[in-house]
Amino acid sequence: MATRRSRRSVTVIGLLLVTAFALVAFSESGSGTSITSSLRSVGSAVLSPLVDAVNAVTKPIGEFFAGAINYGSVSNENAKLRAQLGQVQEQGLIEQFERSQLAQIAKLQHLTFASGIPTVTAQMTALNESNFASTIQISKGRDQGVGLGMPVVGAGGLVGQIVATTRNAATVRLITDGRTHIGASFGTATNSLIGVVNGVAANKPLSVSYVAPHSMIPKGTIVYTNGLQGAQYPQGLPIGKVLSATTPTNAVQMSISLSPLANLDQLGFVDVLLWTQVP
Amino acid sequence: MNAKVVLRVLLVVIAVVVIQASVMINLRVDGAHPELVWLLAIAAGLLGGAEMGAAVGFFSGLALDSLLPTPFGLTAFVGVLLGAGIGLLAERTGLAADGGVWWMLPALGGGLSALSVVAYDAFGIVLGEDQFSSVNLLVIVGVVAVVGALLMIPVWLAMSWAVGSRSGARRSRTSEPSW
Repeated sequence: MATRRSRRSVTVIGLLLVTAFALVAFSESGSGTSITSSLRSVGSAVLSPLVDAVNAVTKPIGEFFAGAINYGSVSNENAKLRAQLGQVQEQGLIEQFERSQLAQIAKLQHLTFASGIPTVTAQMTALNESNFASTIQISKGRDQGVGLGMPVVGAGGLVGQIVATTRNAATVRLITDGRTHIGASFGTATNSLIGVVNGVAANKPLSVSYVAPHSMIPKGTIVYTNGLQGAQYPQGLPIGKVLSATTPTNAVQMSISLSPLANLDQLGFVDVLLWTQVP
Repeated sequence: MNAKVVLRVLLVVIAVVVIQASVMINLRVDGAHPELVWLLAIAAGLLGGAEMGAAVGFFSGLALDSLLPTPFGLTAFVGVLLGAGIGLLAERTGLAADGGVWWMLPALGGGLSALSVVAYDAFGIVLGEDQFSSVNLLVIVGVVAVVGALLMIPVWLAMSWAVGSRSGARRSRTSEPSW
């Protein structure tokens, strides 16, 4: 009896392992993407409303405790915010939320970069961040012309790249995701440098690889896409601002960190650039 | 295992996954957040044996995978290994059952959660996913281990209620799962 039972256990465990492994393989190979996307959609459809409901209740509480723990920095921030609020009131800006949303869209309509590239404006519908990945969902998909690999920009600069699409929605991999690698250029016309910007993790600064040691890179330098690196992005999209640039002892490249120019914490609307990679 | 137990276990799994995807994901220390889902597989393995541990690890992992942008099925895969492994150990040794020292559960929760994250990261690297090698694994392991140790007992109690095990004390000295 016990042997029969343990045989059944081995079979069940084996089946579960094989199923999980097959799902990973499907998910990674691309050939079974439709199966894994369907399963993901079902799970998400069931659990997301519950997650949203719990978030609606717990987020204000969490923010309250976060505020209590970070009292000093919150106090400073409050002082700054009060000053800003005063300015805003002077300018007669009421109905802040609606106006900020409108401002985001207006900024997207008048981007100083990516001129000449047609765009689709989309609203962020969900933020999916884990210890290992950072993506957002947007409200436009294949039916609106959004395709795989297209760059996504926000009011400040590059936000990410489309990695999955459905008819009316798409997934954007944020530039902070560890899978992001962007060919970049920065510096002055006389001292132009190139490197590769890498995502590290959610809420962490970006890093830059392959910059020669002891290059002159002042703090605050803006880093742009260079149109190289397989031309995954068009040239001239602002990516981030240099936070620090040093050359560690005996290093063969500089250690550079960037803060993204687009405010990834408060994305309301984004523009998808209808631009495809150069073959 | 009867339908009532299945429903209760499902309820606990959904509750923990929802808490993970809503509350835990926002509790960040240096960019890393706790991961409760491993505790489900550990508790189920300890209480119900290898088969139950594997099943709970699989379904809780799959539920979380459907909410996260990481490779679909990877959390489920590690969950099965974890649940089956700890379940097998519990069946053979009576681990963490009656009469265990008070710190056994927190130690198991913290240690095995940390081990699971390392395994998850290792499998991700094997799959060629760049982000798994660029994260600060030490910080993630630290956060997951500490919160796992702190929350192992509540998750254990919830799973004990689900499987109908009195005071979390399962049939410890039998090698046969009771469900």
